Amino acid sequence: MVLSALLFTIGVIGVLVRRNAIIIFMCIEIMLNAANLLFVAFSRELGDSSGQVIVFFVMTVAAAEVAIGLAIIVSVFKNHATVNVDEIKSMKG
Amino acid sequence: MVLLVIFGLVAICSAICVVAFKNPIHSALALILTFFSQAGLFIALGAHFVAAVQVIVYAGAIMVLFLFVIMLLNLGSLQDTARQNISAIKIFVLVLAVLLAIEGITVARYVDQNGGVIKKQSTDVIIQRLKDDFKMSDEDIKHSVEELYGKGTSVSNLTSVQVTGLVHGEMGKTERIGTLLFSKFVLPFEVTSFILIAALIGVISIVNREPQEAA
Amino acid sequence: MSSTIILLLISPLVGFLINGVFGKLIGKASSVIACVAILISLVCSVLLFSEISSSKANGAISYSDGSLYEWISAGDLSVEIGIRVDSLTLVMLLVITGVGFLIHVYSIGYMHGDPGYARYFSYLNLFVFSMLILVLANNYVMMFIGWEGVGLCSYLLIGFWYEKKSATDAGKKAFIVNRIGDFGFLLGMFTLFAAFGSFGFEKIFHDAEMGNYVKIFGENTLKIATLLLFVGAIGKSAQIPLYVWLPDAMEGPTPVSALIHAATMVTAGVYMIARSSVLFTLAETGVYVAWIGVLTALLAATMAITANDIKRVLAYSTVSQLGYMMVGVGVGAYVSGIFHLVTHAFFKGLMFLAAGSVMHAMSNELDMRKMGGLKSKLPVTYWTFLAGALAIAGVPGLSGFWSKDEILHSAWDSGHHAVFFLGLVTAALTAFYMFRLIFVTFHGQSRVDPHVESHLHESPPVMWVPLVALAVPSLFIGLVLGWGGHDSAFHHFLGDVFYATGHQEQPSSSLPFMLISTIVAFFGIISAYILYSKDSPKDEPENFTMELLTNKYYIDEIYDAVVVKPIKGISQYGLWRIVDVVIIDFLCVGGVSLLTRGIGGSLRYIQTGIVQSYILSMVIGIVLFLGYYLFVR
Repeated sequence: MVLSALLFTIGVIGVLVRRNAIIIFMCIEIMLNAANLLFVAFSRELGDSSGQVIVFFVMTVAAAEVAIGLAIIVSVFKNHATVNVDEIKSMKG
Repeated sequence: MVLLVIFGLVAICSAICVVAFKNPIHSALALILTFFSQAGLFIALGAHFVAAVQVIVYAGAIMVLFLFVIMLLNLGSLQDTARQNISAIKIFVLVLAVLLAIEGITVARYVDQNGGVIKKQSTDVIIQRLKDDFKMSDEDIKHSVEELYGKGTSVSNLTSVQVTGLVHGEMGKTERIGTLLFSKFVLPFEVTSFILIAALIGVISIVNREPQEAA
Repeated sequence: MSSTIILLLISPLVGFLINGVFGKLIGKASSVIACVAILISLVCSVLLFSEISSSKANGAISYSDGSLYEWISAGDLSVEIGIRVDSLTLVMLLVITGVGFLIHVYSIGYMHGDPGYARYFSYLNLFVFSMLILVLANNYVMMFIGWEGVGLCSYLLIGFWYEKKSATDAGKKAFIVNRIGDFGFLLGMFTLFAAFGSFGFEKIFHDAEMGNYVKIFGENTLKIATLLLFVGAIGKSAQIPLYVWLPDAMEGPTPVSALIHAATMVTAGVYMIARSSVLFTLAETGVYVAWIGVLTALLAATMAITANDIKRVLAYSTVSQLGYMMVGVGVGAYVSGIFHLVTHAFFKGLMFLAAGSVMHAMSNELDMRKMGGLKSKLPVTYWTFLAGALAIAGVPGLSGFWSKDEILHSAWDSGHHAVFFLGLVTAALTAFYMFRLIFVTFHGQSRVDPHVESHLHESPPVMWVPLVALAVPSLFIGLVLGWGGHDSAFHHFLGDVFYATGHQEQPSSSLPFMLISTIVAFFGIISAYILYSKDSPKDEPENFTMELLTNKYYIDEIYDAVVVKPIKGISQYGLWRIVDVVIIDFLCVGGVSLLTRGIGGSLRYIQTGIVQSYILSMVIGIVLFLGYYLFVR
């Protein structure tokens, strides 16, 4: 559990600090993995397999999300010629 | 236990590397390492099926996607620096503290209720649950018990420690998870397929859009 | 019977709708439709009358009081559309439909060629409909609906020739002054509701007799309620101080003056008080009614002496006679008051129509000083006018004599001696100004402008037939109904509708009163003869009293300065400049926009467009939330 927390926070830092959109994405994946770890740990502790099934679903959703996220990034790149999030400020207002 | 520590340390290190490396490709490689160590952690926790899925889906498909995109956009040459205006350490400490606090309190509450970390259930209840969730017949149970503890051990004479071991062992097996998946969780399973279709459609529509003028 | 009632009520409404919607198309036929509508109502009234009086004679039901439709039902408040037909209603119905019908017929000739022909008849029908609602109502709310309706129609009809500014001004004046009265009426209604929990006549009167009501103003509840209702009557029936609209109302077509201002609408106030006889008697507020009535009568009569416009004289005369009616109902002689209402309807209506006939002949000339010697030129008009004048003056045997005499008699009997004397003086003045009008207009040398003289002709039959038809009852109805004083046929018919106080003094003998009235009447006529029937009328003396009288005591001017100008000033400078421009426009509307801009401007900085700042806010938010959740709870 401690481990999971640690991993998660590392992911958070990464999301906040990096400027490259792709790398931010990767940090999001780290966070998701941390959550999965937690699920499995509790599943073992409680003797209930539901935790692992949930992990299965989480992974599926993560995969879908990665696909779409990357598609978006590609599309944004086509428009702005950059993946630096500091420069993609058209929603500033 | 040892495995847990080793894999844990590797995972943490590679995660820090993901965050710290400047070159995106280096970060991606570190991420793959992270995933693998995560799989190792899963195995150490007895969730074999999940570990396998992790390797296949995450390390296999998702990282490949990432690498494809990095190649496509030719980001390999881009160097990326961390921003200055956020104090990483402070946030790190803060978030970590909160998360640990949550976990601590949850565990504390849980322990208080039951006088032990795991619910003390009688052997019969546990075995009954095995039967219900995993749809194991008596035959199967006998079989597993014999595998674990040698032939001749009868089902009803198991100690609590042995039962725990039994449960942990059964839990991770693919067969058991499959049974659970299609009995209790069949609806989410079907819904997941919808999610995948949605993702598919989303991706295609996004990529096929006409490029607009740059803002 | 109920179908008769409904037919009676609906018929003028249908006439109004047809004329109103299709007026332009059907042109001349609109008058026929209107007259037929009223005729139907008249026939229904007669049928009802015969039904009820025969059942009365048999000792069976003498009235009908029922609800047609539950209009408002909200918690404790329940207002119905209900009809009450009793002796009082019947009297009013016959007067309204009878005189109304004759006036409609007369209008066919009078309004001939007017561009607003159809509009006129639709308004007339609407007016009759509203008046019928008023008298048929069995509760105060419905009565008020009719009350407002006739007010509206009088506005419409007074300002009928709307291109003339004086006409529209007069219409507005009538409506607004009326409205002031209506405000009092409403307050009175609400007081009654608060006290009795209902608007219906039967319930209120019954509970009032029993003393069974909520005394929201203590012992004075009924007094206050009746006084407020009386304020409404002051407005509608043109008493002091709200009479100022009636003289100006002569701007409208003359038949309108006849119908609305002589026979029906202005009598609505008297009717209302008579209907509420229970309340007024119990509250003992009749004395105020009587005093205001007699003062009004006197004041108006004095103003009538100097007026030179035929219709003005008649208008003041109406105000004066209404004062008499108020005296009647004020002293508790409800039957006498209504009796005078009936006779007045006939002879005043007659005189207005005759005046219209004169105007028609004289190409719309109104000033008496430009007339004279018309007796020979307009015989029918002359004789009918004379009939009306004799009636109003109180010449013995004719209608006015009977009804006025009863009122004065009752005034004396109930102890209001001062009222009696003032009433007597007014009677003298009445005879005087009426005959002044007759002598100046019809007798002596002709002062008519030669150009006008060439067009002089008697009115067409469609106009003088109603005149004659009205003249006969004017002369004789008093005799028929009033013979026998308190024992007359009229009293028998109407007596049980009203609330009688416990003690009945032995009415004193009528004879001395009759004598006094006769003397007074002749005194007035002879004075007028002396002063005015010479060939060249005396020039009016030019002293202060004459100035005062001719200018109507400058009351209109006083009102203008004291009431109208201040209100206009407040509205224009105070309310408009300050409240509207500054407070509403600047502070409220402008303020809101400034506020929005300010807040928006400062919140704008949150939207940086940089994703990570959003995530940072999210993380901080989650931390805070979880922290609170864990440590505080």
